[in-house]
Amino acid sequence: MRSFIQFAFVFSGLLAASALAAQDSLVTPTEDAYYRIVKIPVPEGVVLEVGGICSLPNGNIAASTRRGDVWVIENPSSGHPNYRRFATGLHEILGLVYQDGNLICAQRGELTKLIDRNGDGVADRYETVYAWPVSGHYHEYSFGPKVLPDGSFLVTANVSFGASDWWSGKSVVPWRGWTMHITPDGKMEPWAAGMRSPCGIGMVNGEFFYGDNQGDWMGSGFVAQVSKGDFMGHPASLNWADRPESPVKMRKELIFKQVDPRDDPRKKPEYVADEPMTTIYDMAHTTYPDRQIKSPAVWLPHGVLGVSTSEIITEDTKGAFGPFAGQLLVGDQGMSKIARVFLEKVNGEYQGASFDFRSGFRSGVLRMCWGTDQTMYIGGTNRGWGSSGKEPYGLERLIWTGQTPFEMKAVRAMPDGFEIEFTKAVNIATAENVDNYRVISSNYKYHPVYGSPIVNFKENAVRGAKASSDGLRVRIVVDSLRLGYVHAIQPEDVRAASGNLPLLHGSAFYTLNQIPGGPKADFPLVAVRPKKSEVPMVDAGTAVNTPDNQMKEARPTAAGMAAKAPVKASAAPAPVPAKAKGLSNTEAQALLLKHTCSACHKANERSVGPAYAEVAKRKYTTAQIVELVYNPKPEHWPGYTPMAPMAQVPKKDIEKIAVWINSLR
Amino acid sequence: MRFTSILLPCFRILPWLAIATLASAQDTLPLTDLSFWEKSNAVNWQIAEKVQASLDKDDQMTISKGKGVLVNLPTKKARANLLSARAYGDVDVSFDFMMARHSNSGFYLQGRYEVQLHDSWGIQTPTFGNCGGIYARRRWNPKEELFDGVAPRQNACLAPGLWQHMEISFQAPRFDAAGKKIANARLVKVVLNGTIIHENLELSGPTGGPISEQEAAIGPFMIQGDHGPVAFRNFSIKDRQGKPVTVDQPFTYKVMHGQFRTPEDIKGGKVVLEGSIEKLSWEVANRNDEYAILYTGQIQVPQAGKHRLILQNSGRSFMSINGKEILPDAWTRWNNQRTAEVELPAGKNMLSLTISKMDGWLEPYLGLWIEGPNAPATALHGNSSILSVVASDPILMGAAEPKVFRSFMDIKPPSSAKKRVVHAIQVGDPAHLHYTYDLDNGAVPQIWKGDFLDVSPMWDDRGDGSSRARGSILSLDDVPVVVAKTDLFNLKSSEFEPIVHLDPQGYDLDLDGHPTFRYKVDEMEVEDQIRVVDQKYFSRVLMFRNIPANTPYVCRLGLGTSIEKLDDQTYAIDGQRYYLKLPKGTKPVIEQQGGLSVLYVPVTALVEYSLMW
Repeated sequence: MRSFIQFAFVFSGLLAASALAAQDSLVTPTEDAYYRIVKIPVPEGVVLEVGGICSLPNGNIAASTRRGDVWVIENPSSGHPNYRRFATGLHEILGLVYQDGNLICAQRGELTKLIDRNGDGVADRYETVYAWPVSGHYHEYSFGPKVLPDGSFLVTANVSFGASDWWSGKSVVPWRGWTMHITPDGKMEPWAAGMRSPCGIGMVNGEFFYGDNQGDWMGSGFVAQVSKGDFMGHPASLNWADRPESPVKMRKELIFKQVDPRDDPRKKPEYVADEPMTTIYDMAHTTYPDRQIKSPAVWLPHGVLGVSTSEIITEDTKGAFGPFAGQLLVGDQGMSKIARVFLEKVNGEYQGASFDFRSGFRSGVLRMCWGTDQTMYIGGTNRGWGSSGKEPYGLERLIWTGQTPFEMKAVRAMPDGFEIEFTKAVNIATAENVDNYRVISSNYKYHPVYGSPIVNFKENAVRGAKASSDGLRVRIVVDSLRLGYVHAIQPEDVRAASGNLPLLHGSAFYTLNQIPGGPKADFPLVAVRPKKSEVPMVDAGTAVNTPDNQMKEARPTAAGMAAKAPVKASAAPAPVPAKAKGLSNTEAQALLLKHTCSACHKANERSVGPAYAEVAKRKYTTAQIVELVYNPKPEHWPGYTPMAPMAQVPKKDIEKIAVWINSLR
Repeated sequence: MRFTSILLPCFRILPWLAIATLASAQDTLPLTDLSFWEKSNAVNWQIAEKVQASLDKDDQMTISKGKGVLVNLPTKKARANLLSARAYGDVDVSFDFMMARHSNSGFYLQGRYEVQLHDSWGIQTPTFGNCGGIYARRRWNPKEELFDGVAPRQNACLAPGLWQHMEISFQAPRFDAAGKKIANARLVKVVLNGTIIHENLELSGPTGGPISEQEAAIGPFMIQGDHGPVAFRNFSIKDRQGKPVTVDQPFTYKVMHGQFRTPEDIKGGKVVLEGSIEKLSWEVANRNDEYAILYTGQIQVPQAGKHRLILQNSGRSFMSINGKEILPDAWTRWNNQRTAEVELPAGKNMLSLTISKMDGWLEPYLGLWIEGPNAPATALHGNSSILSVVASDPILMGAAEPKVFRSFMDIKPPSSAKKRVVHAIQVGDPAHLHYTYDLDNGAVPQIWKGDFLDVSPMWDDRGDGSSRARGSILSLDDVPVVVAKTDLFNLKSSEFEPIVHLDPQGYDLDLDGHPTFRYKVDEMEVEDQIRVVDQKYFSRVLMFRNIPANTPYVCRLGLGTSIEKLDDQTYAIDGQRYYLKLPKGTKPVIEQQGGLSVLYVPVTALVEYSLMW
């Protein structure tokens, strides 16, 4: 029943997003045709809120939980796995690895090695590898470890928040907001700074990658490679950058010279639409190029692919898991989905494209690992944070069915555009028609406000498209490429040679940190076409009901409430909308999907954000709703993920949505 | 004046008389003599200065002459109960008490309802007959039957010879004009050694051994004297049998709709509804947000004196009495209590309360209570005004098997400010004896008995990473055992400036799941093992390896405001708050400095002691 419902959402999404696809959607296979999600049974009474997962050499899976247990799940691919509790009583474990016969996990306050000395299958030595400082704030989660090629560990540490300024990330004890490097014998060196809520961690070819949650100073989710001494963006961690053991060259004052931190414990920073702005890319490449600031290798667009980036793993099954060998698969907690990332190195810098991969997991996707059977194991939890998957926790497998989906396998930067590699040969006629493509570039602000709207977006003209003779690659020539921007590449009407299939997922999001040299395209270009009128920011083929998640850390306290700035909106009661003038539900859903609203909100059901029906009960006026979309007041909705300002949504559309929302009363 | 109420069917007239004789709202008995109590020829009750009870021998209690402590030393002939001269109805009473080993006593409210006092040290499953139990009622049917006894929620009883603490809030039964009972007596709250053991418990009738089987509006305290030695001190009484404040005239209200940020906004507001109502409620606003309500009303104060007002409101509120502001404009959530203490004259008093709310996410709530100097609190609000909040389900953790559980833990050390221990492990034992271990200090900052943990603070919603001890807590200092001799009197240990730099190694679990903590101090390796003995107390063994010759360190086993040697092995700490017991032949050193006493022994391969409480 559940998957049927998901199909229904997939359908309605497709219909709403692409009129052309509508005709075919009745026969178009969905994600489920290629990658199947299979629930793993969990014994009653076991609260498996997975915070860490790893594969053991004997085929078992080990999962650690926020409840502090470590379970070894034997025969996990069967319908009757056996659960053995290997360890218990640990402090909200958010990472687990196997090394040399032992399990190693990060608790809130220390890295712990769990050793079974007497061989009864239960740990009897809980060995402190290294204990780091914590102040005891709820948000001081610690993630990891990840293991470097030399066997040493990396652990990442969340910031905490202020008491009255509950919106403001803080580092009140050393190394919060840092990545710590810990040797097996318990020596710690602070390694990299600028993390906010670094749940997203992974090793890629021996290098450490990290992704963060949208929030203050973090415009959206992303993945970035981290080297020793790097600064990743959140300034709180820099409290400790002056310490002799710090390898980080960035300093807080330098940031605040460029961006007003608006550090007023009584006043929450709100989005300012028209102000001079900067981006983390500019900070890294232009403003302070010698300070080792690292901007994202690949952005995961907010509301589409992720805002609470979780596990990062490499597809290293060498083909056993389908056509994406060598790429990254990146979880998202709130959206209950996994994105796919193609990475390349241009001029020595990582960049690449992100794509939708698989949605519909039962809880928030927090951790993933490969089983020895080359299927993926996914552990999830959503307690305290909303997620699209409604279950409080989950353990699932993702299995390739053996069918190859028609997808953009990779997108590579070219001197004058991009080369798209497909998983299957394209229909050459559709692929060489420039009208079948759309490229839009946009960016995120680097500022103390929670999240960032999509800013500076612009449609880039596609001037030429040339397919390779085997139909697997198409080179497109794109005008006005912008460094540091996310380029959404949408081959909307390109079809597969076989079966006339549309793309399973219609967008690639390429983060252009470098433009490679080399020869330009030698095929004829077309004149610039007039711009299309509307600029949908949603993946045309995403087609999923994907609430995003912003790891909503902050919530109002009495003090924060007392200090909050007065609401600007008028006190006049909302006029009762005339239903005849309003949007139909279908029209409303299309608009909500288009502006990514439906990533977080559903009409009648709590999702990441409140149900629209609940919003309707507040009796906001249309003007108030417009104001709240541009300047959300998360303090009005404690217990929900704060909403980021959505400045990119046109006022007239919000007004339409507002009338529709109020019609739900 | 003296009461002979026990002889009278005394429901109607007398309580008001009693009040007139009470000088202040709260009396702490000096216990310099027996004048508070009804005269008796029995000699088992006496006044003493210091009391000790044996840990090993039954019913043995010794006293030293002086004042301040009430002691019962019954003999075969002299074993009378003790009755207060005065009678009480609604009353809060609290006292310290000490049991001799094997002893049994009881504190009777109104001479009729008994809270058991009993040496229940180490009892695993307490019954109504154990310490804190509400003793059963008795009937003949035709044989004797006991019924309606209530066991304490958990066994919070301490060892014999230690001072324990009891707090009882009691509400007398109510009678109509014809003398017919219309409401049962009620234990509003009973707290034993910091643990709530009964709350809002109705008593269907007198428990076993009352002064009368007939219930009454007032009656004297009675302490049972025939079952063994018991001592009392710090006996405090807050009489509540005064007449409660009442509403003289219905409250009038004016309602405005809209968003109001300041009192000035409300002044300028447009009244959309007005009327009058017997009991306050936010519901007169006719909506659950964006309202302001101005209430004015007259309350009838039966007795002049200090009154306490308790306000719980969602949103903004301010309040005045007789035109004088007693609570200024402020924003609160429903669970933030605002209180004001104010002298009120007897008679009519004008109360005015203004509330407003403009936060849609807040549950609407308005509760206002007023408490007279000797009277129970009166709720001035209607029931439905405080019903919009839904409590979440608690997540509780027992220790049916040994538990080793890490969480943050908030503690209140005796010698320093409260703090959050961040590298803390809670160890639970099926014998209902538990402790917190601070890995940063190798310290045991608290031990407790009874139920293990409430983990809701960590596991409900996002949580804050902490758990709470559920039982009766004995707070200790969060300082290392192993200290340099030069730091003997140093109690300032923090994560970043420790007294001793500990290198925590973690812990091992034995086959039963009991932990042994491991750490290093310099090159010295320490193993710290705490185990339950006889289901009654903890013994702690510290094992050292690689002890350097001339080590600067000693083991600081005990510290407190006083350390008193009771016998060759046993020491009472902090004036009989708990015992420290050393193995035979141990020769500890006790030193004092600036009000702090420290007991220490040298670092040797094996250092052992017990904590008994």
